[in-house]
Amino acid sequence: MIALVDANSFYASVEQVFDPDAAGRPVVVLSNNDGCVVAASRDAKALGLEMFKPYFQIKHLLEGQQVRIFSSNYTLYDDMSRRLTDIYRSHAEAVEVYSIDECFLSLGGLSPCEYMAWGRELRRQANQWTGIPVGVGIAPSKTLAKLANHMSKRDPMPDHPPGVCLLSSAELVDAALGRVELGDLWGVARGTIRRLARLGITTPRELRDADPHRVREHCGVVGQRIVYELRGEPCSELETATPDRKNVCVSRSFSSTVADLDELSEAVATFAAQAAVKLRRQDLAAGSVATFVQTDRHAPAHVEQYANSAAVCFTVASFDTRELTKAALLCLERVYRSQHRYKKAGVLLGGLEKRERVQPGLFDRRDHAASHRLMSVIDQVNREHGAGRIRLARASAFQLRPCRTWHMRSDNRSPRYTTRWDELPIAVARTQP
Amino acid sequence: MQHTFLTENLESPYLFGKLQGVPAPCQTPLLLRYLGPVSAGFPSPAQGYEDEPLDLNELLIQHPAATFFFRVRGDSLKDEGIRDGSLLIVDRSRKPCPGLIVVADWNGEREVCRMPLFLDGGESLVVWGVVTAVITRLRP
Repeated sequence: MIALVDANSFYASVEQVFDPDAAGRPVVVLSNNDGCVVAASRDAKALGLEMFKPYFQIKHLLEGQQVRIFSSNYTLYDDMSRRLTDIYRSHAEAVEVYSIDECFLSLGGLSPCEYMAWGRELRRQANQWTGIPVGVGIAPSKTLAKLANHMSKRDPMPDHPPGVCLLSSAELVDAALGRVELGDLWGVARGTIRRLARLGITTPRELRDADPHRVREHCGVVGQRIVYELRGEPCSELETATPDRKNVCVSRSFSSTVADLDELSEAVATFAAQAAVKLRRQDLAAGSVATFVQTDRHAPAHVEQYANSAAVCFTVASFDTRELTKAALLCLERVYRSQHRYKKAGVLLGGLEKRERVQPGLFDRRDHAASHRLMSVIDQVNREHGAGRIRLARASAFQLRPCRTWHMRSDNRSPRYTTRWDELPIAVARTQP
Repeated sequence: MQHTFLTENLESPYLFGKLQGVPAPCQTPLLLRYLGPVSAGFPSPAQGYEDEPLDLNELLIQHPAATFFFRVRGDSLKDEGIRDGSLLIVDRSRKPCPGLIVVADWNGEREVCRMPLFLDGGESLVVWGVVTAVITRLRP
């Protein structure tokens, strides 16, 4: 059997764990740069706000509602996610980390009664140990586990405890399929729904009973797999090994638009340096560098939109901040048009390979060992004394000059309670109860 | 089996010499580098008795996924060894019982306190986690 365990309103729940003032109130978490709503507690959702809407469009809903608003604190969310995953591992044979707040767990050989008890205990332990409420859906396939998890939250099945749903028999699956729409199923997007409609399939039950080969003709192998998975025949194993990174990306929306090439260069050089640090942390080298820029998509209609990117490839893959920055700036010059005001830019490193396994160049006379030593020293200094302490002159350091217009806005970020000694939560020793 | 160490200058003599214009003196800190075991001479009498170095995490933290650190503000628990600035190790997996030192939300404030046996009417105490250890730095 496969269980899908996910955290309820994960980011909002994490904030409520550490901030006693947020615990009893609606909580909203905004994306990088405070742009959109990326998480909201249940009572905040009840105010009628929609996820992923720009903040300024929903601001009026929150006024006078005692809502706590947080900028996203991914360092903290990542640490809490790791704790949850550790707990899941002690309860399952294998764990696939599907996203920051969702894991597939595999387990077997229990009776329906025992599966329910297992789900309840997992839920209790995760909540007690981390303070985060989680939902558990258990079923024979990933698609059904996802459905079971959906039911555990939105529409509890009869005789089920809160937060746990078990679809162990064909009857239970059938009952659950009767209570959802096609669009609620995992992997069924709007395009798939349109194509299925042409086959006369409009409900989840009809999809389960459809001819898998006909579905494959119209919706591809992914559609066919969904049919089998809905019948309780698992088509995909858990992916327990984290795949090697395919690329490293650092991008930001600016707090206000930037038109000046110098200022944009400073931002891109900083992103390149940050990407290089990520690259070296995994001992990788990049075969290509791409830079992309974008105007403000929410600007008034008369403002001309522009988005572009350019890439360069290295003959010998590089991990050196100097080379990566140079390449990123070269790309920027190629896509920069002076008549636009830019809202977002980013640097993408691709063609990643292990540093020791980089194919050397026949005419390459650079000293890569020396470059590696230099980068290691710089990384170490920056780790100990703060990012950007040693940097190229083209790049800027967040800490030293936070007033730059392109600097990310995160006015309401909570402390990194679990990973920084100087940001630990405070417990007051005062009056005795 | 013998273990061989090589001492080397922490700062490169080349760099030092170039900067100062004189050969590198040997007062720079020495770094011991372990080069691996060498089969020569007398075998170590400690062979078979080696232990891992002591690890405070192992002593103080039973459940890493459930353990959080707090900083104390205030001196009212100094008789318990908890002082202003102390570090609390809080284990959320422990069952809170009256008499234990806990971190709790007490009338809207996150406090460290001894969990009371009884509460007066109208008061509320929600335990966040049980304090299992205190680390206090001694400053001269």
